[in-house]
Amino acid sequence: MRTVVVATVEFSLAVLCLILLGSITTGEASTVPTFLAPLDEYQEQIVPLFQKYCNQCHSGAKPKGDLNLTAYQTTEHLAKKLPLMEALLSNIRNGEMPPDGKPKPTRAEIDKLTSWLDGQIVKAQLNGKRDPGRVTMRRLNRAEYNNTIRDLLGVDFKPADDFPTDDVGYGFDNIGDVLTLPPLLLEKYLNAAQRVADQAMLPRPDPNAATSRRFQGREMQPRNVGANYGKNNQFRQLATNGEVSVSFDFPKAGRYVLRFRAFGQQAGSEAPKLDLKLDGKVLKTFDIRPVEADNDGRKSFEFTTTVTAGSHKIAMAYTNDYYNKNEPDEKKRDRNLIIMGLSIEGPLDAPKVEVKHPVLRVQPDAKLSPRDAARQNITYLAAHAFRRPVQQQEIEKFLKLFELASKRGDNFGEAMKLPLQAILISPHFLFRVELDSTSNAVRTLNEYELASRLSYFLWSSMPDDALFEVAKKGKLKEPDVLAQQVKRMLQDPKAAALTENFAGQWLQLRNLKNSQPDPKRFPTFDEPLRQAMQKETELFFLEMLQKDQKLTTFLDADFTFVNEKLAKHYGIKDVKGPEFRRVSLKETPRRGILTQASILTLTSNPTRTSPVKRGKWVLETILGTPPAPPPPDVPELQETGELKGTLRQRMEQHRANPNCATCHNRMDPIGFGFENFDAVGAYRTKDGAYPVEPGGSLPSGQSFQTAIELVGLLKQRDEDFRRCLTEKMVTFALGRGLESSDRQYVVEIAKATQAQGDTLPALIQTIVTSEPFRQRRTATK
Amino acid sequence: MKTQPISRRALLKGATAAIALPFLEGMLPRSIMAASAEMAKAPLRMAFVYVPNGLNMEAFTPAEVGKDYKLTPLLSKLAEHKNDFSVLSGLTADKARANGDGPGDHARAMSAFLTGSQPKKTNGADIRIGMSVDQVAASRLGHHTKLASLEIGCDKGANAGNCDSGYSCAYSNNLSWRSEQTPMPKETDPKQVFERLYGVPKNNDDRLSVLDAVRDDAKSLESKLGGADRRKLDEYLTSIREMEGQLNRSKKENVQIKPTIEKPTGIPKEYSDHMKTLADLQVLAFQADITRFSTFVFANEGSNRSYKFIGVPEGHHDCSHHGGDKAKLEKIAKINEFHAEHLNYLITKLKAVKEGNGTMLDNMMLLYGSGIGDGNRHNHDQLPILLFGKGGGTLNPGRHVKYAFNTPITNLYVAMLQRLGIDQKRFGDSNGVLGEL
Repeated sequence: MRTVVVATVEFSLAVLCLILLGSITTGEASTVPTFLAPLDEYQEQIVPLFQKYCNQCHSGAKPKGDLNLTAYQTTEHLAKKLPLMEALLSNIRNGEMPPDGKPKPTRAEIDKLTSWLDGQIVKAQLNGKRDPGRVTMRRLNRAEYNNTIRDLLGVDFKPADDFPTDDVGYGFDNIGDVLTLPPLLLEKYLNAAQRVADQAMLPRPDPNAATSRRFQGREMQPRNVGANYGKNNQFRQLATNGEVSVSFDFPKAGRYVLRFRAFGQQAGSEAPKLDLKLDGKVLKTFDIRPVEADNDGRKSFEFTTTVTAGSHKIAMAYTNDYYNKNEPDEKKRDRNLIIMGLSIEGPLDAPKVEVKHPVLRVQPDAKLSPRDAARQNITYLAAHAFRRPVQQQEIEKFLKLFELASKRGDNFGEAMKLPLQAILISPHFLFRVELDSTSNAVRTLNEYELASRLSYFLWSSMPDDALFEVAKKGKLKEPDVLAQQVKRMLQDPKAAALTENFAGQWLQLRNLKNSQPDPKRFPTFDEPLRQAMQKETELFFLEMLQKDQKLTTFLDADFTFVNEKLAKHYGIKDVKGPEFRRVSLKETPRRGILTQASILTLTSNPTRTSPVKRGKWVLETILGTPPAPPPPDVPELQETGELKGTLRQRMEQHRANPNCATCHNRMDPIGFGFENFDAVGAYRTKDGAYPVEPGGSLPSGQSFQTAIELVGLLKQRDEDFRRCLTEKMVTFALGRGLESSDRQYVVEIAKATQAQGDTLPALIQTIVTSEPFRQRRTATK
Repeated sequence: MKTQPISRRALLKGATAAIALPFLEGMLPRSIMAASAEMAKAPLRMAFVYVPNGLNMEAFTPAEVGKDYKLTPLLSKLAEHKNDFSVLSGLTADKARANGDGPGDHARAMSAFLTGSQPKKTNGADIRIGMSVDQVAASRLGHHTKLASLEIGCDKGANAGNCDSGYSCAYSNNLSWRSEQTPMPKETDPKQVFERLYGVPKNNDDRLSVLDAVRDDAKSLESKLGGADRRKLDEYLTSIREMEGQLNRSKKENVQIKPTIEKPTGIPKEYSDHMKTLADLQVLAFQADITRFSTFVFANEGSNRSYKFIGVPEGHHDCSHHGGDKAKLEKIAKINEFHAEHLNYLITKLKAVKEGNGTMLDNMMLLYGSGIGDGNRHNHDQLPILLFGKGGGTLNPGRHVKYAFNTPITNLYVAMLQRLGIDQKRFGDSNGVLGEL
């Protein structure tokens, strides 16, 4: 069995005792003449800490737990005892040692001890050898299949949604060893290939066609007072100053004509004035003269402007409202503006782009035989689908399929479907193949393999043309180029896949959709709220990914993203509308992801909060020190009201059992720290009839009164958090569970990340330049 | 139940067709039916229905043994079928026990239930268990039908996180295992199930050509791979072979039974409707002889589904750790009853299909149960097991049988396999053949 370091092995004291009983004698250590060795880091810095905090119990003739730390006078003595070092590391890191009631080391002292032990463990395990590990050939999982099809053929209908769920290992669903290919899935692949081939051959919209979009009055968003529906909802009447607007996603940059129809009701000296605005800036002010006699003559106005690609807001504002009830002529008392639809057309004179059909790049003609045209198309397709250059002989069988179809009378396009289907069923497409092409024990991945690792890590999809181009030139190996590509890829919209697939699984956000809060107890919870919760955490992760925020901002951010629905849930005022925006949390009891409703809900039971689940989630997801699973015959808690005492009191009864206490002392105080948030993450001060008491103390002896204070204490464990996040992300990036030989890489990556700004992009950059990401052990070993 | 007549031509095509075709009342003229009674003997089917987290055993297990036992509150939900099932008490899934592997009872319960093998404790690197009993049957007899086996259930796999104490989610999501390493994932969407049952690809030959091409592709790759990569490719090649078999069979038989239900549009919103729709499809699959072996998972092991629609808003798993608390035990019983009602629905439908002088259920062996006895204790002995059907005349249902403590449930599987004509003396951890059936 392989040793796994992701779940740091926990040694309860009892286990520690067992290990020590059989293996350690004081005599063995004292035979080494210590006076010869120069003082090293161990003797200078670690031993004094042992003396200060440990040796009171762990020394002498009858040391506690049979552990005599004074027996280990040099690094070499201790280095021989790998299980002892791991137990020390785990107990110190978790704060279980020194025990309650004894003086506790400071945070800096703990960090010193744990990082020294970490380093020694790596050394002891590896004996100086480095091993980048070996990833088992990964089948595309569902998300990767969908994205790859989208990027390969430009069809976006998510065929993999019909596939069976991919099984999860090590917390992620992209693990090569766990992704199997049962007959059912192959059947689905065949169906999908056929549907994709049919879809891919449909005529496509002309990419050079100009955009034209008309908005009717009712499609415009009113702001301020005065805007209302006119008859048939065809137009907007602005009776007082105000504006109406539309948001439009401009497909391309260029010059666009904005055209609208409007008329006015004149009163006073001026005609109604209309400001045409782009993203809040006035483009032009129009005088909208009343149209006499003939309503059909409502005038059309237009303005041509240059916009960048993407979403822009176009507004029409009425700015000079007038009303005079003393005006004798009734018709001249009230000035109003009426706006008919708005249309957007463009871009004008945009340069023509040539977009080739991804399957029919060339068509046969007088100079090109159908067979040669098919060969060219197939070569291009296969190279992209397999994410590497292809040999001519590889495509012969695909060409034969084309001929088969041609012979029975399929036209050229139709006959290309069969080879396309075969390409989509090929193991070279369905699996990410990395061959064992050398006899060396370790080899560096070639450019194309590296490009694929990169794109499936960051995009859950195939490389794009730019990345292929760099790989083709053999430049991806250059650190600058690699870093540049990562930077580019993280800013690409496709990086949303990292949120969906990495954050969704690391934070277990995907489980939110399985939460079923009891509607009787939590009547405000509904589907839109669930979606808003999810969106908040996704946007927050995206912020971490694309902006240079410190990693610890995950824990203590004083900002978040809400829409009206979620703001109401949080008690944040003045947020209107369904769009999400960044808001400050400074005046609220919330900080960071631990107080986001998504996390608080997915760690709750349907009818109540679960401090244990919340505590466990923090230990597993944030600190990387998961508790051991519970023994089987432990009852869950009774419902509120049926038993005496608060949830906390009842949990304390639970903890009276020493078997439970070891882990629950670590989980429960953390979980209770968030008790001010109910099972759907809303703030509360009472649980049933009882006031919430969120205060508590951690095994380290540090105490807190509120969730914010607890978050502050967790932030001090930034080293644990960085290591935990590194382990999770490396697992996801590699698609395999981590082994003991990966420990050194995790330590190195975490250190380098800290040195390079301590941000999520820095972590990603150090992962992609690490040995396990760029190298591969060959099968011979 | 109404069925569309099958063309005589299809039936009279020859012996192969006759074996593959279901025996449907009203399908044949009387004279032919008499003449071919022997030839067209109804096939024997085997089905497994799984419920998670153990049961409220007090509300389940009858006090008396034999024919005249009194129905318990839970079993009374199945009262109308009392003569069609036996309660088999005392059976054990030993390989679901820790046996030195520590916690993880839910993952083990599910994966050991039909395999009788100890799942290797791993988060993923080296998943290993054994072939499940339904797949033993499917691999030997599956070539008679379009689909060798059918795997359905109401829960998709886990989405994220750890499933159970260091076991990969593959173990707690999958009941059926094709090989030591390859689970048979279940279809959860009734629409997808329907399409698998009734969809006949128009272009079978195209698909066979495509498979031909990629098989060569895979073969040439094989020699260049080592270690676990090789294993993955083998899995791929096995699936290619099975798919070819399936395509050839559906080409040859072209069995067309018009489905008696509308094509479902997706996963129904209500859990109850979801189970019923899948049950309908399960019945159709047997009736049309599209498959003879199936597994149906009502909920994944360890499921914490809320049953608020029957007044149990708490999660199922949370409730199952009842600690002897009466109110919780009652809630567990409610959940158990709810599942039993849906089992009753399935059985009623199976019995509504006439076959020969009896019903389709007579030509079935349908096992209902859980890999955990009492959810609070996580015990894997004294499992709640019901065996429905007459097994084509080889079973004598209608009794409560108590077996010796620790009798492997795999002894029952050996007995079932033998009734299918698979002469297998051992399966998993079996130590004999279960009698008194």
